[in-house]
Amino acid sequence: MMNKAPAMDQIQPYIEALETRLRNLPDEDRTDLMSDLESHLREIIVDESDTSLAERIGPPHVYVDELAASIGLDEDGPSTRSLAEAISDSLRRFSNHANAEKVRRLWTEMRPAWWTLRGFAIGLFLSWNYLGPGDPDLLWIMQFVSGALVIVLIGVSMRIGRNQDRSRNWKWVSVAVSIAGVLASISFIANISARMDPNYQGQNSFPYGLITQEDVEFMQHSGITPEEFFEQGFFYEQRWSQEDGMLPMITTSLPSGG
Amino acid sequence: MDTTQLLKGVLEPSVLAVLDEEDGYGYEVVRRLRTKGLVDVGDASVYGTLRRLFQGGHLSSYVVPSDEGPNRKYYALNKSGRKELEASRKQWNEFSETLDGLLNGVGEDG
Repeated sequence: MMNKAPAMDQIQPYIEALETRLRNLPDEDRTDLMSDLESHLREIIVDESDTSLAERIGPPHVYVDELAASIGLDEDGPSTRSLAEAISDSLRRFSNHANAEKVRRLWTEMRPAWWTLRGFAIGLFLSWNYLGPGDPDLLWIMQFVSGALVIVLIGVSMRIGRNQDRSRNWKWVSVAVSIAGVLASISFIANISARMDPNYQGQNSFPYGLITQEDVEFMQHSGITPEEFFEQGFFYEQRWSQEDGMLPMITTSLPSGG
Repeated sequence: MDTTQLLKGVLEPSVLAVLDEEDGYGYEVVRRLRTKGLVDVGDASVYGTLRRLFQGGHLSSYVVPSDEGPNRKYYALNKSGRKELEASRKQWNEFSETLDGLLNGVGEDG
């Protein structure tokens, strides 16, 4: 039985299509039909283990339309569908296309990477924007908190991602987190490019992760605040060579006294 | 002529006939119908028909454990189903005679 493991993955689209199709039915009838269809499709998978379900019985939306017609549930035809349903239906049609199978498989494999990335991006965004500069003596605490925040958010994001196929609510949460992740990534990239400009006179939200122990000592020596450190260009003096503004330079000597 | 349109009307008696021969589970009924010549029959239609006949009280069902996987739900004709099949047979014979007369010129005044 080579398709035994992904059986539920194959069945799920049909059950979901049926659920959407039958949303006007009372809950009892719907659950009954859905669970009955599930066992029916399982039988097919066991019987025909060397071909995929879609090859056997056709794509979910076609199957469900045929089934609804056959049971005599045609009261909600295409004419009564809302725009959103029509869109989701055509998306489903696309995703049922034979060539889309590879794309979908690739996406499924890539998903955990995206879950990690979005968690990372959101974590970084939060620590940049809400854990701004404070007392340089407490820097290590802030760095620790930032790191922990990023790790926790990656964990949460993975968890949400793994649960997203369980129910509609999880799915919505996951979509929301993905959108937040995209926004955070955009903000991250925008921030980085702005800061690549040597003339940048930025906000005081520079990431603590980029301050070295030497910077802290420099600030203490010169008696300046982190805000001044960034805004008055000390940061760049510390790190960027005068000839080529784009090359990071590791400072070996600290300015004396202050 | 689109055979799927024709099938719609005759699927119910066909499923009854197949189950009258021998009890069967969902996909097995599909395969038997195809073997007997209804090659275009779709699983969704047959499954839907089985459900409708069951809801209509023409079929009884029982579950048989399978060594390969999940339990199988077998359907069997009950008394009402056999009566229904008998009525369909009569109806079909009359109908096919009429159409034979119409299309092939066979029949009373042929």
